[in-house]
Amino acid sequence: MVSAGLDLGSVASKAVLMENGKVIHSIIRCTEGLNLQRGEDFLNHFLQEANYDRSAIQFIGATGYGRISASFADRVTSEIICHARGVNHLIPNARTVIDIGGQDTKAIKINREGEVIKFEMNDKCAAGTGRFLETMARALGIPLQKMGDRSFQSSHPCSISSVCTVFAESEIISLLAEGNRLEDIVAGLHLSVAKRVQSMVQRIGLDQEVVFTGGVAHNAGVHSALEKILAQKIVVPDSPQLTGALGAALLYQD
Amino acid sequence: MLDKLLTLCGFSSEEIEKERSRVQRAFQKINLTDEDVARGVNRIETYFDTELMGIRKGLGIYLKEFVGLILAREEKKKIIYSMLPSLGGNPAAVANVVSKDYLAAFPDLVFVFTLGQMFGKLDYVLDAAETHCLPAGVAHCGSNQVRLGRYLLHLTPIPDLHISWGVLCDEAPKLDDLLAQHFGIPTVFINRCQDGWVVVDGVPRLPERTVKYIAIDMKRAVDRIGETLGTKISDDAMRASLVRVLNYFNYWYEIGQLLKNDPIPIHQVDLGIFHTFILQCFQDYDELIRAAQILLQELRERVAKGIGALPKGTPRVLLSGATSACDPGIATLIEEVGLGVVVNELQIYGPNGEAIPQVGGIADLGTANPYEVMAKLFATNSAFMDMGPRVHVIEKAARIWKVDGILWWVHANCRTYATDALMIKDALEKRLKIPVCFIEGDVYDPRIYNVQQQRIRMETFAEMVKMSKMKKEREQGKA
Repeated sequence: MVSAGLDLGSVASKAVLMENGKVIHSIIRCTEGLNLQRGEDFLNHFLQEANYDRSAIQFIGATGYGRISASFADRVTSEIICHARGVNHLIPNARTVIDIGGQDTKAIKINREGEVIKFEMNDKCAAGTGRFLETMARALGIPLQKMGDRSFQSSHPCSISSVCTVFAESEIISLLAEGNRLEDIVAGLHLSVAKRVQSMVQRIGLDQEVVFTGGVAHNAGVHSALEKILAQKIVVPDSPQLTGALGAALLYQD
Repeated sequence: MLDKLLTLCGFSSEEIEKERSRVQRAFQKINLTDEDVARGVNRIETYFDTELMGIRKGLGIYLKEFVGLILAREEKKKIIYSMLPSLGGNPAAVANVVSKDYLAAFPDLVFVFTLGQMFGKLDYVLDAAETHCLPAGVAHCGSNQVRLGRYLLHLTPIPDLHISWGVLCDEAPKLDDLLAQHFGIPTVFINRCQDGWVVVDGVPRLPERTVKYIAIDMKRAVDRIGETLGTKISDDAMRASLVRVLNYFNYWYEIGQLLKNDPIPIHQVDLGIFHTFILQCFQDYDELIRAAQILLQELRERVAKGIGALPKGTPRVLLSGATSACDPGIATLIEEVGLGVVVNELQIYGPNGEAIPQVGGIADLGTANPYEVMAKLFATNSAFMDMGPRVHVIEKAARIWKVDGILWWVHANCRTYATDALMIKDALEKRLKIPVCFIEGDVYDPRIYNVQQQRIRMETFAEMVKMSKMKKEREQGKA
């Protein structure tokens, strides 16, 4: 069985190709343009890179905010469903999934079959999402990829009280002006993200194992902050950004 | 194009000839252009099931109310306005019984349905309210914003009296107080006794004191209506007004019962029109009854022939809240993701959770105190209840209607409804062991809550409901 899964996110587009339940190729690319042709273009680019013929693919699943451009897919569904399936495939003992993407944050409770039992999401406000961290990195003048490492050099994380990305940006500029260390501010930002996730996780109830996915899972500082706030060990799979696409590729099992 | 709109709203060719110029006058008065009319035609054809003449008539009733409101002063009517809630019949409606020279209306909901749902042109009214004193981002109810915006933009005349309720809403009476001072609107306030339903030995009970309190305050408001209109409003007139409402309830109840069938014979967005009719005043109740009769007959025929608006076997959900007053795209989205709404909370009454057979068939109230009947009817609706009894009654309704999931839509800008929403969700999940999805929204405000934003939640919830339903059927050996 050969299946492909697409996760057409607002910030990054992801795809996986699976053969008999094993991932044989994957791709993560910055999303360029939001149009109805986007899904088709991305799939073609992916298959070209994988050197794989489309006619050999028996099933295509699609998810993500851009899934409307994937009308060619055999099945299209929400990313909550797909992340649940993808995580379950990688870590069968997973029962709580925290997904922090570019523009939303989700807490998902799943059963042993990878089915969604409960979920909470923040999709109205950028605070606590990848967008929030991007904005803060830009304001602080440090690369987004370096935020994690910098936060580990903190000794006294700052308290970031603002719940809004715009206000938080003003707040960190004030903190810098007051002479606070950049590392302490970054650590404070990570804690702020973790606290927002905490309330969502508390709503759905936390069960082990807890898995962290999405692009922000690459940020070791946020990972550490989450473990601290939730007082739990949290697993990050090898390719945390691909779990949605993986889940989409597995939809043929339904 | 105007003729096409009127046809889609169930106007006969004679009615079109008779009413066309009046409708044009009203539209010109509030600057509804040809482009708006064309959009209205498009939206009606997109969202509503115009194959059903009953639905067309329902749309027409709202359109006629809209026109009547705009032209009321020009047509030399004495005007009484009211607002939410009026779940047991709107006390202001008695004015329409007393004389055709009086117009009683609930303008905010009429505007939500017409300017909003039909014409897709409510945003500028909301914007006007936000510019003035009800800004965005500060949890102001869309209904209240519509009310303020109407006056600011001179879309409806200043009434001779406004009836304000502090029963379910904390913001509305405050706003009405400000409107009274700013625009000189004579206003009377109906209050609430906070003693709501209680659950005693597992049975919800409504304190008699609550009914009497509301009844006395309704009478006070109606006496004020009489003073305004220069006439005394008798209990008989009040009973006559209430009987009209109860007769409509009978048809509404029967229509609702048809949703126990599979396939579901009507779309939620269409049924929503008839749900919100219970909140309204209406000049012509006979027309309303006729529309309900037509719809009931059409739906009975569909059920007899096995014709559904949705496929057979569609998972069934209970829907809370006033989605009927939202962007119709949201009610449509519920069905797009593969779910069918079989019962709306407006149909759920205590203590048994069923719609209101106990008042069905009443054509004569005898010498019953009409205010107490109205107060009891109002206070019996699930939406009026506090958390404990409300959960109890919703649970009963969910079992009666055999729902596979609950869509707990919450008016997020309403402190009354938003405060206990998550607790109710958790309680229902625990009691019923079915998926319950919490969705935030507002009374028609697609600038803040729109279809695309809701899509991911609805799609996920739909998958959860389908899985849950499949598992249950397997356990019951049906698969």
